[in-house]
Amino acid sequence: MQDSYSVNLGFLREALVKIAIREGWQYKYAKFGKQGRSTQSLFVHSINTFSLAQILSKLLFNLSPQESLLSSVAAFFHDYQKANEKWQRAAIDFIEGRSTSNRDFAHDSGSLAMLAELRRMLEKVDVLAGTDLASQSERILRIVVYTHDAINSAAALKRKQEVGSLDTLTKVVRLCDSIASIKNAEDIKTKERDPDIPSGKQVVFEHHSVSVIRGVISSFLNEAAVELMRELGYTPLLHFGSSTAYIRIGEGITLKNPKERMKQLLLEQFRKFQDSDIYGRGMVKAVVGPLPATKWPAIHLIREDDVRVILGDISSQPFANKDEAFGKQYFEESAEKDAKKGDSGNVDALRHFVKVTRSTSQDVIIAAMVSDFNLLVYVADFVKRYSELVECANMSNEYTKNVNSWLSKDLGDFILDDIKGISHTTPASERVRVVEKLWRIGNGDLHKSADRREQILQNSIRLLVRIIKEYRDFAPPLIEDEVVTELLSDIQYIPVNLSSGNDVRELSTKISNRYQQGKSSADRLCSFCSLTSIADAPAGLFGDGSEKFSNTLQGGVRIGSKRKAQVCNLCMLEGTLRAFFFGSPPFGTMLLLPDLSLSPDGFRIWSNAVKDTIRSEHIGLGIGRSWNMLKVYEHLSSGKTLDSSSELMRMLMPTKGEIAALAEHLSQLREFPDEVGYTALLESGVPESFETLARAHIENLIEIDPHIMESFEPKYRSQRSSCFTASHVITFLKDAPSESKDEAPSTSALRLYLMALVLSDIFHARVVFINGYQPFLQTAIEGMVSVDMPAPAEIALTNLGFGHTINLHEMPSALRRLSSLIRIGMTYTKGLGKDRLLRLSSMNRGAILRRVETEGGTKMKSREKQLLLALLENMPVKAGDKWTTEVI
Amino acid sequence: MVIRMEKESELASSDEIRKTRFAVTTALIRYLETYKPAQTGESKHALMGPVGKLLSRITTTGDINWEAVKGYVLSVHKNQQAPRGVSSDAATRLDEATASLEKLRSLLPPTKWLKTVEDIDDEVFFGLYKENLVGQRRGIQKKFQTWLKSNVSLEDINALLPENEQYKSYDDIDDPFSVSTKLEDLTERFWEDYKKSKKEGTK
Repeated sequence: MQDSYSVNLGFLREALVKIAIREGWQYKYAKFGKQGRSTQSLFVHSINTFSLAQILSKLLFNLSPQESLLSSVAAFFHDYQKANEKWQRAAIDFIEGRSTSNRDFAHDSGSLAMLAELRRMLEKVDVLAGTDLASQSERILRIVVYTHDAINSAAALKRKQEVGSLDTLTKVVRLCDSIASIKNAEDIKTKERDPDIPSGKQVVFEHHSVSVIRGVISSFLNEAAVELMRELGYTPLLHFGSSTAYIRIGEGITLKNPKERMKQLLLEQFRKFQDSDIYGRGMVKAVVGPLPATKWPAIHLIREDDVRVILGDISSQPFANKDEAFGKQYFEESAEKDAKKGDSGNVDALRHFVKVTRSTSQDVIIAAMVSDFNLLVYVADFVKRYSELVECANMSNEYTKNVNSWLSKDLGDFILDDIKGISHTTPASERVRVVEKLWRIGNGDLHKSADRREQILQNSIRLLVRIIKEYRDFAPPLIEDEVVTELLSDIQYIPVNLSSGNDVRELSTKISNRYQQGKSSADRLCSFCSLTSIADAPAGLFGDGSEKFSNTLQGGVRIGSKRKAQVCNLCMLEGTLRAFFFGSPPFGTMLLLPDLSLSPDGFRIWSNAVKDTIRSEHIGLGIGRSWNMLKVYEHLSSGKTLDSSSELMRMLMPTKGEIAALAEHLSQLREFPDEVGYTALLESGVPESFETLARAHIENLIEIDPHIMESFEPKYRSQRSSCFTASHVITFLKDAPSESKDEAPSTSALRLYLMALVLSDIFHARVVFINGYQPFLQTAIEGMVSVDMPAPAEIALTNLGFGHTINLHEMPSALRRLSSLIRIGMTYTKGLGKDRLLRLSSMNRGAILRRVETEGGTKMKSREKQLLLALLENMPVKAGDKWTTEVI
Repeated sequence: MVIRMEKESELASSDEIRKTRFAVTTALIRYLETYKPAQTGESKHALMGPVGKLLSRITTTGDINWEAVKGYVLSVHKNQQAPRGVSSDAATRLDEATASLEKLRSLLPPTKWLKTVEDIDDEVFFGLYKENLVGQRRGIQKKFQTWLKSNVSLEDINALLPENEQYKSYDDIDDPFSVSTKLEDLTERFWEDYKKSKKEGTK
């Protein structure tokens, strides 16, 4: 047995988490309020108190490593007596508004039974972490018991007789519990006079809060604010959905210009994002715009090195690689257009083109011409966009001169004016003339070279890199000053002055003017967040939301042109950034908020969960994949839970196809399997072949070096993508989680609800689904999940026995019922049609059984029947019957 | 003329109705334990036996002659039973079931009665289907345990399982549908042998 004080803290943390999960603490309450408001699970509360003890025992109490460890373990178990059934029953009765006379909230017993209970758990921790904590059970119990106030003097006397007098470490645990129990970040201020704070220490508690969660930019803002607070000498203690509580010991650090520093920190966040793999993966679609309709909406984000990647990607697209059949079709279509106009301009030009190129195949050369022209459209648009930017700075003449010389040198016999005429709508006759110049027919005859496209590509890259190098200063900055100022105004509170007198004055004048002028169609507000709008909401970024009703719309008018939804700078920036996650606007956002609060150790659990869930998708094992979700639903319906992300990863078994795809990728990069670098995550044998390496990576036993995985193209596209801070996780959903395209929206809403429950279970967090693009204002929600459901889906949930909200203790029953319904719908009752989940929810289980029989149930195999029976057992006896709220 | 509509007060709480409904279902299933049909099957018709006839007889908002219903049901029971006849236990259990049905009817307004009979029909069917499958499952479990005893040692089985999932004896081992996926190879071998022995049996 290892000495408990030399134990690896990571192992100890993992062991404690495992024990708490096994004890079912994730569904038990530590904190609760009426109707499930401000509740917190025993699991999260224990982790948070443990984490605070880790920080404060060193920072505030200067404890030795041994005592620090002991106080942390005691902090973890400080509320273990709340896990007993009586306490939980009393809590549930209170939440559900039932008045009972025999509520028993005592959890400070020092009895022998409680000692045995604590020892039992500590022994389990010892087995997993290699510690020797069980031998210190008596002391830990003594610390724990005194953490709570005795209800009367008799109880105090009794516990003194049972466990002895107060332990010196009790005050550490008591202070940590007191801090871990705050419900809002601003409540931390009330702890400054806590009697457990050692005398003589100058302690300052502070917080920062953000007023709205817009999405990615709010994550950047939050991260930057935490970093600024660190620079001011504060240590983060607890994160809330949009705020963070901090502690500072001793004198603070003064920054000369905090606003300027905050700006720099924000820029650092953006640069970090530019270096992330999300940026790399989403760059082409995000900066170029939806292909093949190009406008380079985020041209200012492109760095010199990005040009190669972007143009390389465009050059490999199907529209830039047309085949012979297309050449034939293109000629025929051009002839038709000529016939309609009554001339032969296009056909003549094409024939002439074939003649001058001396090509043996008309169709092949036309296809090559169109392909190169399509690539050139993107290059031309880039040159045009920069031309517009330079024009604003009265530098047009110089730009024209330089670009003309670069064009003739690198690309073809062009001048800038020729470039301006190139677009997707250019007729065939014009296209031919442009490509003749591009190929330098009669002069260089590029079309005769085997590497024609490669030469054009390299020359285009050279041209665009030159333009960026020379004229980058004329492009808008990464984020404009005005945007930064607006973003900073999202900070509701931070203990440092970020606004100068001028800023405040400007803002007040702006508000006053807006008020005096009243509402007008010329000066409209952002449809999403009510800041001053700057433009129409582009559909490419915001999807259907951009053409929604706006408050200046007159009754009966059609939506369009001037009546489009408006966006402000911040929403526009948010939309631009989201485009990196998906080229098209996301279907919706899952926002994961802490279960009241999140400590640094809780954050570690989140990070692993995010990593696992993203990784599971990255390798093609998306949560929406029905073939994998069958296992998940069966797992949940059998009463088991998904209490950790690694559990989910273990369940999502890879198919042979995925293993083969990854194995092939590895074999292309390395000659032998032993040349593939990896980190072992779990104990496993040494993989001997590319296949075993691939399988071990997918099954989460090893992690292959990220740089090897970087270029791996997964078989399936990712369904979701996430970005996260310690205060919240944002997960974008590309599409509705439907089984098929014609599925009723209510049916996919039910699946979405289950997804929210699963995420809540994995992350031990609260989950809010935000439809389309909307900023999120209120971070306190009732229950564990909040998903706006269409009316039929609401009724289906009521039929399943779901109440208005799902509280923590109802999670296992809710997961079991909903996953059973969806699992039945997936296999047994397909004949019920596209809204089968709704219909199933209104049926008794005997009626479902009858229905399955009519769909050929008598031919079912024994295993299928057993599974159906197990699934039906979870369904209400009669539609609408509630589940019994049993304490786990 | 003024027509005044007043809401009638509920005859019983929903909780009481649910409990009584549950008692009815249990009593009907208990009654069916005494019924041994000449031909067995898994269809709803086969499983429900005389209870199917009983429920269709009482699907009415009019008066019900409970004694007549009982006589009719016992007659069906007698004719379909092999060997023909009805035990005194069956008659007693049917008495109990109809008494609880009568009680349930007295708690419900006529409009709710028809839907409730339909619900009871579903619940009884589900209960019988479950019992039937659980019986089959127990049979398979026994066969699985016997097969394991003659083919694999308990140590070898436990070696495949983590410590907290290990078995103390063969009798503790679940049916092949419910055992850990770590025993997948063993269950596959069992099913192969099971199918073989079934084929040989039919020859």
